[in-house]
Amino acid sequence: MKPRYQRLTEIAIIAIPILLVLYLLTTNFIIPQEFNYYYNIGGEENYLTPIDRISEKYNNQRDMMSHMIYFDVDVPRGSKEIKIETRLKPNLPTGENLRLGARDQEDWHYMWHTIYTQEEENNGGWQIISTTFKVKEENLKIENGKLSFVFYAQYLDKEEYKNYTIPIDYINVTIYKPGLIK
Amino acid sequence: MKIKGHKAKLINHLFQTLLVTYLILLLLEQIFPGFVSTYLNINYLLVLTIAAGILDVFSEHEVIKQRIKRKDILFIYVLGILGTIIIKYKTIDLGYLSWIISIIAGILIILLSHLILEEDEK
Repeated sequence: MKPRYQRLTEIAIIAIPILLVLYLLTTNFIIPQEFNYYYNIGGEENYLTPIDRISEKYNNQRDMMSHMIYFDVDVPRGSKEIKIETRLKPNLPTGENLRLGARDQEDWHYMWHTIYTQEEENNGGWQIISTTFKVKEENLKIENGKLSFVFYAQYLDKEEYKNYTIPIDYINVTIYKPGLIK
Repeated sequence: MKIKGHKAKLINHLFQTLLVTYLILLLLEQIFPGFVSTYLNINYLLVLTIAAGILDVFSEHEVIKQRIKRKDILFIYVLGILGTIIIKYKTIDLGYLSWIISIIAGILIILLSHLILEEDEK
């Protein structure tokens, strides 16, 4: 007959995969969760692409220098809502707008949210802007656990605004994933 | 110095359990990206598996010789087919090359498993 400590150790060893599977099932399907990702754009790491459309970091910020700037967000399976909050200086000419797109098709196609419209003369100050995307309703395309976003400032593509830039400080992403327990 | 007796058996049991758990979680992560990595860094599990594996190398095990049974061969074929399906799934974007790679990989899994089983039997 096996000694008691050996039986207990064997049970403990068998419990490892069982507990891991239970933990993963609980977190994936049962408990509602909120994930938060903070991208410090003015920090060491650069989260925005393409690199040639972004300035080097200075004063804890970078400048978006072209009309389409992309970033990816890790989106857990079963997520319902993605709130994007960003702090930037929308140096927009009057009447122009800044849009944020989330990829919604296999081909290059984005679901657009207008996040800022310049109605008066630009005051040049920092603004905190946010918008919420709904994964299912807006049919967002999450590929390999990642969702592609793009800032789109159409006027930056025009010759007369080629010296314009949009300074950006951070992007804060909050993702809500519902579970079986409310 | 070799680890012997009950301790050696426990270490072997621990290593096998951790290895199979790690491989299953890795497979789940490959098929459903984010299912595991969002909540658990499986690299920690890999470190534990390697540590248990090193201890297992320094343990003394009883060598039990067994004949190859029909179910062992069946198991090898199931693993080969499973391997083919997984590789096909992961390389689906490569078109017809995907079929070639996955079928060759499946044949390799079956042949190598056969070879190892026959080595064990000798």
